[in-house]
Amino acid sequence: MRSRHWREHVQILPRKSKGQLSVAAAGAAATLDSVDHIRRRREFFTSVSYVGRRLVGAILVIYAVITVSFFMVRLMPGSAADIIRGELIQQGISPEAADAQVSAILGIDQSDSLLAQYFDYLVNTSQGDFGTSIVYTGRSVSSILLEALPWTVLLVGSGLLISFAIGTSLGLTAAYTRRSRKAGALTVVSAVMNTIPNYVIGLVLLYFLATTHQIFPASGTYNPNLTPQLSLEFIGSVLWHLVLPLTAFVLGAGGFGHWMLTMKASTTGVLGDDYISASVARGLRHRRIATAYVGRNALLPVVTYLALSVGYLFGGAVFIENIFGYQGLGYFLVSSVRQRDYPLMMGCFNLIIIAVVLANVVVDLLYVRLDPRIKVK
Amino acid sequence: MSAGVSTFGQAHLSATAMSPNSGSTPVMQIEELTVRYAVPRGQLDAVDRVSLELHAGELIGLVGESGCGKSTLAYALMNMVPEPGSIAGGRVLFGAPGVDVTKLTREQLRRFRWKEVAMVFQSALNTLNPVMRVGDQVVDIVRAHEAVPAAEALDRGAEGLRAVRLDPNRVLQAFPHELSGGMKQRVSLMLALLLRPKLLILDEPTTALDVLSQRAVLAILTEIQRSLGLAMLFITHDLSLIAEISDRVGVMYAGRLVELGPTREVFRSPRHPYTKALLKAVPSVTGDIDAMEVIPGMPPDLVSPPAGCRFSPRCPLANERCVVDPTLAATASKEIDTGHLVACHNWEHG
Amino acid sequence: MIAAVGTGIAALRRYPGAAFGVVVLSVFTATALFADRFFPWNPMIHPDRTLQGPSWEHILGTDYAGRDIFHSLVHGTRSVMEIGALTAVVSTVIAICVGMISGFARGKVDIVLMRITDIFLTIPSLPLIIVLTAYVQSSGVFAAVAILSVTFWAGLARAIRAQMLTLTERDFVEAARVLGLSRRHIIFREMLPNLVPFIAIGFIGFFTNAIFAAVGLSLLGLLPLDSSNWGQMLNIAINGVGALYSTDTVAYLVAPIICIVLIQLAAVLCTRWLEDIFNPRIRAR
Repeated sequence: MRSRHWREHVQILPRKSKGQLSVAAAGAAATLDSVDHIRRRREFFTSVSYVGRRLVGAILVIYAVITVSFFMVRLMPGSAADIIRGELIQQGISPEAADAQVSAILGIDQSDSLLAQYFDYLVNTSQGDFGTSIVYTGRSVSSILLEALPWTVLLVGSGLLISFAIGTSLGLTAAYTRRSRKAGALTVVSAVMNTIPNYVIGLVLLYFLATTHQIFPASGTYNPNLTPQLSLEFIGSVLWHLVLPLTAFVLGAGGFGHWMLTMKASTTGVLGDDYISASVARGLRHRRIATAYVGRNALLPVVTYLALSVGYLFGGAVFIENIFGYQGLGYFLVSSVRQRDYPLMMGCFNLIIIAVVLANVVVDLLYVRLDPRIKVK
Repeated sequence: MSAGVSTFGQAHLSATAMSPNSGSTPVMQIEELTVRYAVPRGQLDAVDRVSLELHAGELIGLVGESGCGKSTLAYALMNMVPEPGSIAGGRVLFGAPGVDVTKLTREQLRRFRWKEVAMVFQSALNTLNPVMRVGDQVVDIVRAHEAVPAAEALDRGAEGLRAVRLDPNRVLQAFPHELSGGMKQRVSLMLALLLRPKLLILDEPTTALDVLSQRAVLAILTEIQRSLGLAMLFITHDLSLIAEISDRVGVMYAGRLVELGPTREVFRSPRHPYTKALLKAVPSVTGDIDAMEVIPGMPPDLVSPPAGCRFSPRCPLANERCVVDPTLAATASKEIDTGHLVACHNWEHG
Repeated sequence: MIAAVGTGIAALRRYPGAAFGVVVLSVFTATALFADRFFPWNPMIHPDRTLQGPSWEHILGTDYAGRDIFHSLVHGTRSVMEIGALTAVVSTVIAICVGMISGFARGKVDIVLMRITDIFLTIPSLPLIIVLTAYVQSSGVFAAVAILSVTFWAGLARAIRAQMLTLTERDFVEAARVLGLSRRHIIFREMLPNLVPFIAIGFIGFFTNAIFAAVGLSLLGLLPLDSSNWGQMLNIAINGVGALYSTDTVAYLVAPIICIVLIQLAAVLCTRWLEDIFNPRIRAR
């Protein structure tokens, strides 16, 4: 919006002043205008192709992972398909019926050739059908995942936001007041907290605040007596159940400490740049310098880290969800592994991968928009 | 040398006469300014008791080799000496009645900077915020000092850009990396003039530029000084440049001002041994290359300089008193002619 | 070599935190190697001694099965350190191989290897590890090491390859090639020394992450190791009987936590120490 503002403004000024300058300027302006127009159109197309390329890359990775999952499910140790089949037969079901059930569970037709099974699998997966859960008999994996996904997104999303916000502001402050005791203390605290695994903090919180003193709930995403609805009570319950997991997430490794240290390093670098001392010489207010000059430039490299951390954060969420009985994707991932519920396990895994890959793409694109120096080719 | 500039220069010299005390109050009066750095090895005075007056409409050149303290002096005038340096003595009086810049509070300093004294930095390549468009930075600067709407700030920016012969339509909406080096330097100049300061300090503004851009910037500078009548302090190590454009010239060596005077006089009859040696070291277009002479020795270690004159170890005229006498005036003070000062008590013997 | 040790010690003096880190790590290593002899671990259950608080005989008290907590801790150190060290070694070896081959051979080999590395880099390691544990039949250290190494190597491989690429452009490699020195010589005598900083820091990173993951996994009950493993202790502390409800044996919960934190801290400090040694520019600040 800014660009429109002064661009239109500048052209309004009529400069009928002395001689050559105005004619040249007018001529230049005229050519520049058309060049500008062409350049903008070309920029649009290159950025579209860049987006396209990133998406294609992401899809390729997802495709690779899904294919590997397919084979992993089929390679189930001890051929769990046979185990399931054996169990069903033990329960008195006929072999053919048992076969049919196994097929239904796995989402594949056992009689088909491998290639056909693979195609079926691909078709099913692209439509969101990940098969049926072995443990939660009868329920489709996708239904379970769909219920679990929002909780994980809530945890990881809010955890990331809060850690990032707290961390980067602390980092900026620490870099600004570099030699003070405050900065030193901040750095030490952040560094120490960044080495403590988040599950350790989770355990401590659980012990002191949930089990011994019962201030916060020890498990669950919301009060099981309530039904999910858009009521204040429900939302309150959700938030209340979110407090401990979120705190463990924000305080532990990969939480605010990580962002604080990264931002501090980046800000220290930026503070040494010439344009910062130039802006002090130009009499700009310190707060303005801190935000628009130091802050904006220091944040750019930190944002690139966002893409890298998303994968790490989803991993960390797994621990937290299990410690706190928080039924998100991580919770079901672990429980399905424990119970050898292969379809559910691979479904969880695939979904996590997809989420991470998409998040990476989003952050990449975001960064390209934020840094004007990047010329997309 | 283009005829236009030299005749202009000549005319200007004779017009303002040789005396700095021409009756008008100086825009800035530097009195015995000392800038001290605290380094691990000890302390050093990068600027030692320098005194200088800057008048409106006058372009003073400040020359010296690298490390002689000229840039430090420039930053001190805006009270911007970077850590671990600080102003350790002297006064910098601005305007009439003189306000001591070294004693201003933080907010006073902020308002003083750029509005009264502005600077064109050495490496303009990095003095612009890379993530903001030029127009936005113009608005920032203007609005930090005056409460005007953004539109008006942009107006001024556009006007300034035209004065430095750049196209506002193109430059205002551009990001710094989209501009060439010469363009960025001119933008830097425009930014310095945004608030119509009384004093403009230029720290090696053309050193990083190619010759063509150099000429363009210099032409713009002289034009601007003529139309705005501001005082200019032009810092460089390029003697020929100074000979061309400045009214007065000051020569610095090892943190001290060793000679000061009208340009023509200093160049025609330099008095300080260092100035003489410096001029002999510059190759002449017409002369023989063998006529060039190197100054033997090296600049002193400023942490432990000679107690007396800092040039004495390399000076052909030096005697014992030069080396050990600390009462030797640091700044050029021996008046030879009206306005021509030198910091050497042996200057007659040279 | 001697010069290296000299710089190392100088860096230590400059940076006391690192000394702390080195000391702590040495203590843990020594414990892992020798302590079993002094503090033997008795897996037998003594029902008469359950859940006792700290006393002279049992420094940290006893757990729900009557076992001495301190002894369990010491015994657990061994498997933890084993997993950490072995994973670090294996991951580093894989990373070096992939990185160097990719960086040296270039062309199609490079592209293929990098695609694989990219896939492993994008996939979050922890979920992958968790899924792999479902396929692992045998329990024990080697299984854990295998799983962890498979997911860890990618980052270092990439860094090594990047470094290789810049190195092959550098003059001294050209010089060696012109002199007709054998490829093996070039690789081992010219290039490898330049990779040492990355490898060292990567090694400690792997070590830290391996412990982090291994303890976490046994905490979740996914990695079947014997019950003196720290993670297992935590697991039992939370899910099992007694530990969380009696303040006397809070040591069962706290002690492993303190050990974990100490090791992580020590490793991080050592990393900074190594960075200090390897990067003279940082030293100047």
